[in-house]
Amino acid sequence: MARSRIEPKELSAEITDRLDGRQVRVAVFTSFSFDPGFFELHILPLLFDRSFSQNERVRRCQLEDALRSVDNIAVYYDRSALAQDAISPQLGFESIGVRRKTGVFHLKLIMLLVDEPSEDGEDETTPSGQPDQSLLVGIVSANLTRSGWWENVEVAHFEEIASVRASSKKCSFRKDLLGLLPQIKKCAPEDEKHEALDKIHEFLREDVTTDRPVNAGADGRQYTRIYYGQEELPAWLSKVKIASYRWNLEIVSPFFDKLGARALERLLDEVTPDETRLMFPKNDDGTGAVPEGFVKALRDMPKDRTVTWSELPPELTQRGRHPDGRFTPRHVHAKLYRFWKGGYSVCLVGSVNLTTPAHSSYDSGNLEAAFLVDTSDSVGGWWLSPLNRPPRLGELPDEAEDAPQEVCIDLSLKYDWRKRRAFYRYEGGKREILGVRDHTAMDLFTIQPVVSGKWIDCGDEAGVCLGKSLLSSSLLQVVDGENIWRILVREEGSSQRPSFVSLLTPEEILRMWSAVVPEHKQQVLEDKFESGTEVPPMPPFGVLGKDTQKDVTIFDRFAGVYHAFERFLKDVTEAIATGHVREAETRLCGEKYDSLPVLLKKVSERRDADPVMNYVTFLCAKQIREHVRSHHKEFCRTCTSGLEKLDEFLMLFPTLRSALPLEPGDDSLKFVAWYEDMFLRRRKIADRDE
Amino acid sequence: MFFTKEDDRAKIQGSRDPLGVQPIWSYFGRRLVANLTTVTTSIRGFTTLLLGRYLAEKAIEERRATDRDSLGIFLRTEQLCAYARHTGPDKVEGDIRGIERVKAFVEENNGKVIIDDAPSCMILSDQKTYGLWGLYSGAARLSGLLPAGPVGLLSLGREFVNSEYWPRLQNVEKELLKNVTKRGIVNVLGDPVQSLGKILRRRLTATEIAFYSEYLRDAAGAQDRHAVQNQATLSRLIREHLDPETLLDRKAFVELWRRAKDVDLALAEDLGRILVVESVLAPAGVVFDFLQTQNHQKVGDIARRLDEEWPNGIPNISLPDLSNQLPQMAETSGAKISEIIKACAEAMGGQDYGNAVSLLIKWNEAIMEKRGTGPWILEKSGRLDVRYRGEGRELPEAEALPDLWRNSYFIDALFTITWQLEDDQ
Repeated sequence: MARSRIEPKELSAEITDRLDGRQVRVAVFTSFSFDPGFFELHILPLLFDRSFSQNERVRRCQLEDALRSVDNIAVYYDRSALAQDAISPQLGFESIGVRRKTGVFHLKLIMLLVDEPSEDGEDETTPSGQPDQSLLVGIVSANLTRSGWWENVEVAHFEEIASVRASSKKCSFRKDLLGLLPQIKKCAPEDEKHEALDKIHEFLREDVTTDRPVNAGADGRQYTRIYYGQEELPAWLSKVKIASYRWNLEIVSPFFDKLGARALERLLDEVTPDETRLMFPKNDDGTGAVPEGFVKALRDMPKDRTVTWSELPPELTQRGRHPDGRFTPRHVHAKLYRFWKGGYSVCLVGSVNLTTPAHSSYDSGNLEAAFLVDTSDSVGGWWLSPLNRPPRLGELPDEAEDAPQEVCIDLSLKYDWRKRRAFYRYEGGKREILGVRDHTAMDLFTIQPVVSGKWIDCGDEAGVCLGKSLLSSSLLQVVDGENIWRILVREEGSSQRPSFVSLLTPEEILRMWSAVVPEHKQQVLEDKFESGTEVPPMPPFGVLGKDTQKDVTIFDRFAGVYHAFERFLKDVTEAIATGHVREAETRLCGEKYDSLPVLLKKVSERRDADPVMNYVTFLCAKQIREHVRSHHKEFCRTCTSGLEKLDEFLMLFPTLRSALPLEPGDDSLKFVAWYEDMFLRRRKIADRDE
Repeated sequence: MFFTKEDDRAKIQGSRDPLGVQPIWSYFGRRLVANLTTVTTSIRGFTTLLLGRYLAEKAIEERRATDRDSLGIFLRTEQLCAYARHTGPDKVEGDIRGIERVKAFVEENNGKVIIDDAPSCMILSDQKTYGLWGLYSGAARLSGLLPAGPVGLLSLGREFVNSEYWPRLQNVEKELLKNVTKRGIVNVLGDPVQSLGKILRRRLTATEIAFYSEYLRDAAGAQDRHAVQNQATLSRLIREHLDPETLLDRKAFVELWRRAKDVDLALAEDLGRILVVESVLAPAGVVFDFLQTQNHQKVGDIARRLDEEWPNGIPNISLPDLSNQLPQMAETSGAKISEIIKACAEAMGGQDYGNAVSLLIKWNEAIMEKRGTGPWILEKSGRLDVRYRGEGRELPEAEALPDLWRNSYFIDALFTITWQLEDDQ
């Protein structure tokens, strides 16, 4: 049944509602403009069904934890359009800057591969023992920026594809998606890895029914399709039978051709609507944000092509009241083509502006994406209301929104945290030298000579420089003569990226390990960041939030350490067993704030520590290492280099043992030898009993 | 398909803060308001928080749940309370976080709603982070009502719930504990929702007024005794010399400061500091907003335009007074930024607008450097290169300058809470 009014919804709310608590395994986002700091703090949390702190530093710590449970997250964005208000990320997720030879990388796609829980709450498993999965696909007009996700008027549409085991329903757009994914890959250099995209591709090929509807629609409804520039938009609309009917047409687009109205004319030629309404984009001051050339071309159109300047309902475009009583307008960034007649309507929803590059095929214009979706259930009639008299023209909106900037040095930088090496890749014309500066404009290193077409190691010194600089910011400046360009460094091997939090004491790390629920961890971090003081000493058995700090005995302290390591081992073995290898690797051999090597490093460097406590901590670590060696051989094979680093730390054990306050000649040395033996042996017995 | 609406998170997170003033006003504001934050403006929000924590503690005590369940129990309680307030005697429409979903769920399901911590049942898309748990817990902790950690209440909060609310929920105790510990369908017109509705009336009881006045409005349980003393007197001055409709602009703050001088010199001194700091932060903010609209314009032309618009200069800036506050500013924002602020204040106060524009650009650059990114505006050959236009807006009129006020200092939350309590006297 048709609804009576257009109901807007928060984009974030749609994501959480669609996920409905399901575990995300693979996530791919694409965007033209990109603010990595905003994405990290406000979009990534949507993928997890847990609470996050309002304190940004605590939130980043929580995300650092949460991200370990996701196999792959990748963001593809147009390198020429890094958001001007972008904030540097600190978590080292995969961000792949791409550049197109024709037009821009303009599509805004969200793909989330999720595990399906079964009726009883456990994950539904496939014959191979892995959880059954579904793919959420969203196509939106919003860039991955604060204005895109929170402020602008945007449009969005989401669909879900179930695996063939869960549903044999035909999918009308699977083939479109399979065609689109290689186009995204093509925008990146040939030797680029695309693990996240490959997993989604594999799901679509292997796990989804290949049956698809033969016709464009059935029972008076249009099947959902994805437009991605398979051909020019008007021709594609004709192919999917949109042009076979007589419609009214409504267009919402913030950007138009600057010289003429070619895209609109060709669309009207193909679709021949009875009447066309076109939203008149406005600036904040109420003036029109339309190129004069477009206005003139519209005026010169034949009389039978009635195009009426119109506006969206005010309830969509107004935000809160200004102190002076005026409503402040929201910027309309939506791109929508609505074909309707009577009770039928079909919408093209996505990134496609009313411009020639957007309407071109992908090999000659932009790369765009839009869902074509039947919206007959939505509000009927016109959505746009005609303007009696369009306001006078004003300034055109910020070019950065939807067009590449004039100067772009086509250089990518990546940093491999495992090898601690920096690499560059240059794709442009001949250049002798390029400078690389940090975000404060301090020179880091130079690239000379500039080799084109492949990843080149920047050398030892550059590796050290960049590694240090990335701890402050991943946004750098590239200098070519007088031109300066901002780039985002792509980071790989994020488990080895030192955590941006390094101020936790060994006691605090153990408390984090002991935490029963994530909220306990959150509290430890909030206490730390908000008060800036030391967190109280280790309570027994990791019980937090209650009045247990008083009367901590020697037994409590040691029991606390054993308990923390026991929980640590449980978490690591669970992660290995459930296939979350990255999480296990990060905890056992990573450089995050609560990784085992970080704890050992801090313990070994402490000057005024209790030597017995240090010794016991290392002994527990040794026990964990032995357990992993004997029980998880496959895991050890995949993480050889990381475990070698851990072993290096454990080689400090004899030094810590020698620091024990033991008198030579008495039996204490014998006791320690016996104790170590029993300690490690008990683990073996416990393992055997398990 | 759908159009997107403005996300509530934008309001909670505040503006992008290009001049990094938030840590500065927070520092000065915390000397006056010990416990509240900008978003903790609902007494009933705190009531719900106390009930949720109390029920979780009780369920754990009775072994119906464990520590792990405390957040889930809280979220279910928050849902029940929201339904109770909306469908109860007051039929509350605003002042409920998640009111839109509450209304929709009640309508769609004829009053039979699911209470659960699953995302589909939540009254906010992200109830765990942006609901009362995320937004009110910190203020309640500062008020001395909650302990650190996710479980339980401090004795102050527990005793209050025990005496004020729990006796009125005795007849629905079992049902209520069942509802908050397990997923289930609840009729909003039946018990326990309606019993909750009765205790969550808009009108507070005398005991509630006494408790919330003491611990929320006057922050009697907070640790920072200096701020506690300030807060109690300040809330009294708000009651005595302002009214609920007062616009919190500079005029209102001056009035409070003037009155404070008669009764509490320490408070007057702290209010005076805020007046001094805001006299610089507010005009700096509006000029920077304006600069964002001035792409490609010459600095000289912008200075001339400022001179024309504000021929009498920017009032209220006192350099000697500001100098006294610079050490505190340096503590929160760093020495470099505090020096820029001082120079900028000097330029603005002396109507040297060209210099002020350049200094504002430097100020933003220094803030963005701390955030690991680039400046929003560059000055190239005497012209502005605006890299980010975002929140640019026109200048306010000269007549508005004497009362100009932009930042919260947490006093707006104190103002709202104060008048909520007064309405019920």
